[in-house]
Amino acid sequence: MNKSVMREATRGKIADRSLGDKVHSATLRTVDKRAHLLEQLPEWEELRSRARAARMRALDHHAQLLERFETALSERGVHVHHAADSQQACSIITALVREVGTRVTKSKSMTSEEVNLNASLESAGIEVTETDLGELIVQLAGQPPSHVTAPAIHLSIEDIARIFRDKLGMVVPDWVDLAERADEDTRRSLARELSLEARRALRERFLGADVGISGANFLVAETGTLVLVENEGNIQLTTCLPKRHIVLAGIDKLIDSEQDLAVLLRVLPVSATAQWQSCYVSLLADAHPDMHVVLLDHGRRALLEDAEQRDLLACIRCGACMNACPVYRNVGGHAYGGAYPGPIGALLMPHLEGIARFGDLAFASTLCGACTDACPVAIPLHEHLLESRRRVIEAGGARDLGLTLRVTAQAMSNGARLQRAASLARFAMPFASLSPAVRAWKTSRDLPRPADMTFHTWWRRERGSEHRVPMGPSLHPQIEPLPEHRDELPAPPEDRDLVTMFVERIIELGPSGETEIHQFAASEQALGFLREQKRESSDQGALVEGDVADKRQYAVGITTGSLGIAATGGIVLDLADRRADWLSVLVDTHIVVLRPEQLVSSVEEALERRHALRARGSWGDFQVIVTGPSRTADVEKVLVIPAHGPRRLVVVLCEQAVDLGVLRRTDER
Amino acid sequence: MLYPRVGVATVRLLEHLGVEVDYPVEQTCCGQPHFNAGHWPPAAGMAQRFCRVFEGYDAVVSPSGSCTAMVRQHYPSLIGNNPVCSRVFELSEFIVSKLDIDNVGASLEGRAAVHVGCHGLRELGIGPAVHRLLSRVSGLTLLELESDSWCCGFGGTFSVKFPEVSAAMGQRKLEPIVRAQPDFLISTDMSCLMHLEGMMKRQGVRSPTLLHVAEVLAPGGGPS
Repeated sequence: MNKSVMREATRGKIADRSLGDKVHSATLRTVDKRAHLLEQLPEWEELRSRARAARMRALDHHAQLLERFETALSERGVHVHHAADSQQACSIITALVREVGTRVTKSKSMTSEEVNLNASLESAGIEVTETDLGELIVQLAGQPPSHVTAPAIHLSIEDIARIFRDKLGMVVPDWVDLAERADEDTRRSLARELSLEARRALRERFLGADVGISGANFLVAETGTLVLVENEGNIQLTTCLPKRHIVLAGIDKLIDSEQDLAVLLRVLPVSATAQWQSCYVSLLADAHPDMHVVLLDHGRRALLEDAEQRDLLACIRCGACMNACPVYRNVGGHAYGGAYPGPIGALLMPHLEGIARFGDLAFASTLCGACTDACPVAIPLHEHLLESRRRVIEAGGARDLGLTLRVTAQAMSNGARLQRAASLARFAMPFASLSPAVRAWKTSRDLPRPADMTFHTWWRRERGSEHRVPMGPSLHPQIEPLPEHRDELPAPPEDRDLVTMFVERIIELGPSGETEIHQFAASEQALGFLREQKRESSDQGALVEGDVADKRQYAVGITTGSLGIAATGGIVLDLADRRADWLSVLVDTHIVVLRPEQLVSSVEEALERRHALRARGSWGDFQVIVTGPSRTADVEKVLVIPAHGPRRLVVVLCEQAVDLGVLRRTDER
Repeated sequence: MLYPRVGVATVRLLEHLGVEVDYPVEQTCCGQPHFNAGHWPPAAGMAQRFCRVFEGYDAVVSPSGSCTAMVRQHYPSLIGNNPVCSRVFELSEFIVSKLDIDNVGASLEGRAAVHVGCHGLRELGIGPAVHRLLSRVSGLTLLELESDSWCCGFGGTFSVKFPEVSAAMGQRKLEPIVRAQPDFLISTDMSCLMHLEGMMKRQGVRSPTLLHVAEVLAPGGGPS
């Protein structure tokens, strides 16, 4: 059994604190934000158990759901492939890419890291561009991601600036090379510049790609829908623009129904990025005329049969466990040596790639339980670590301390024997360093001094069996009754109308004015406003839903919305018309028109409506839930708006229906 | 063996509160180090032994959150359900929940940071009981630090299997505490304090004074 990468990665490295400093402060920022959100979510525990139930339901009926999902996709002409392991996944995908071209854009997919897809594509002469900002940074730096949702969490603003300077030729200030840190405002300013540089640098790559490869967050069996969640807008650009769209997803991503999806969409953003809702939730049933879905096994089927640990497959890859983990915070993700780091990584990697290689990771934990507390699907992670350790020992591994443990087990089997050993401990101190355990302790700590008298001896002397304390009258002073300590639940939100809530949320989504909402009574007023927006748009011009135009960046894109979600400020776009699918993303300002009667209260309700409308044939196979303008926080958790999508989101709420047809380019009518 | 003063303080405190205390001398260990290290068979042997040794008492009180959590949370999966398990309590939770007492009449002048060990904090939920008792200690001001719920980095055999990581975690735990300059650091677990004390001594850091909850609450307790 091999010692883990963790041991090699951390041996002797007490002095270099810089990695720990970066990871510690970045994870704490997310943990604090999330804690703040949870204070406003008294129903969190209930959501967690519903989320867990949804995931377990899917695992319990896995075979049936898989069949239903595949059938639904195939009926729509989506090609489904099965990959038993990494090699198969890579060879299937490489072949699918080569059929079409040599340029690939990729959105963030941990599954693709797991199978090492990029290396395989690149060795076949394919250009791969990572489009998620965090993934782009680590790709340029030649490193794997170190976190499941924040790939570059281990890098500082200065580190990233140097990478962009060296690999993208970006001009960066001299102070990034200085040992002394610049002030926080200056640093945040640079973080913003770096994020915007990625937007500039990747535009051409998005537009020129032959194939887009994405992962998937959930696969809904009921309707054959793929769900992709993001903030930057890069997933939409990756999936809509190229000639072919390939999805790589583990078979554990399956869920039963859209009801289950709704509860998972409530817990995922809160846990992953401390947001009420991510910017873009794409619901694809057959969004692309040439779509291929590659379903990966790679140890998942076997884990499904594992009675004790199968709920590890319930993981929704939010990263909350590693944010909470004090070990992860100090060593970062690379020390775990595999695609998935942190507590979930320590547990999953042995199942995916063998206990021999990764079994030792289970011991790299103090079992503090912070991970279990954080998990949105209530996986008892620290208890699983105990079971994993048992399995490693049973398999003959982790033999360090074996002698010490056997000797102490002997001593612990007899009280008198233990006391004899204890009283001799004092005399053994000079020889203590013969024990590797003691030597390890002493690398950074002094040993405790053995006491002059053991408790055992004290007890015999002071209490012994003849000196039992009599049960007399109570000796304690002032017994105060226990006060009523019941946690007060915050008062439920007042019954406000949906419009007011929706307006508030839209404004919140633009902390520096990046969102606007205008309300009109008559459609003529709304059209007047929209005409003015069109007129004011720069040379790059404005596009209206239905315009036929080249796929490039535009100043303004005007579309209709189909539903508004009051609880989150989300807007559902039905994008069955494929000319519109990129129109809401490849624009600087996205203007969306809605009627107040299209507002629903929650994501759950929106998904229910969608389900009903699709069943009737009123809606097509591709919707996106847009919640705010695009954003990223991949550079030291500094929030930057925009990322790859719109910089501004303008909502026009008009009581009358607005016909956008009158705004279209005249030569198109 | 290493910190008998904690055992002594525990006995004195419970007697002061009117409890009849016995110490079965045949006891050895709850088996947690072996269980946590993945050696479940010897741990199961120690668990069986523990239940035999402590049979017949109304309650078993331990000045250790981690030992208590081992018995209550993990013995069932190790040796099946045993009535002894549900009668084992950590000291603070015993005083508050079973004796219905939150003011034991103790006094200690000064400012204190509080570290509730992870097992007690998360597996047993004893945090509120500990704070309740300490907030009633006359003269004692309790600090609230962001790092209060952070793991100290001891983790049993983890401290010697991954000593560098253990030390890094200990360092991060200590820094905000030392910065806040309390007079005392009070904990429910001597294992945590042994690790933090070892680091402080190595670095020549003399303050704060490390105390177990029992020493603070016991009559004549506090730093000697």
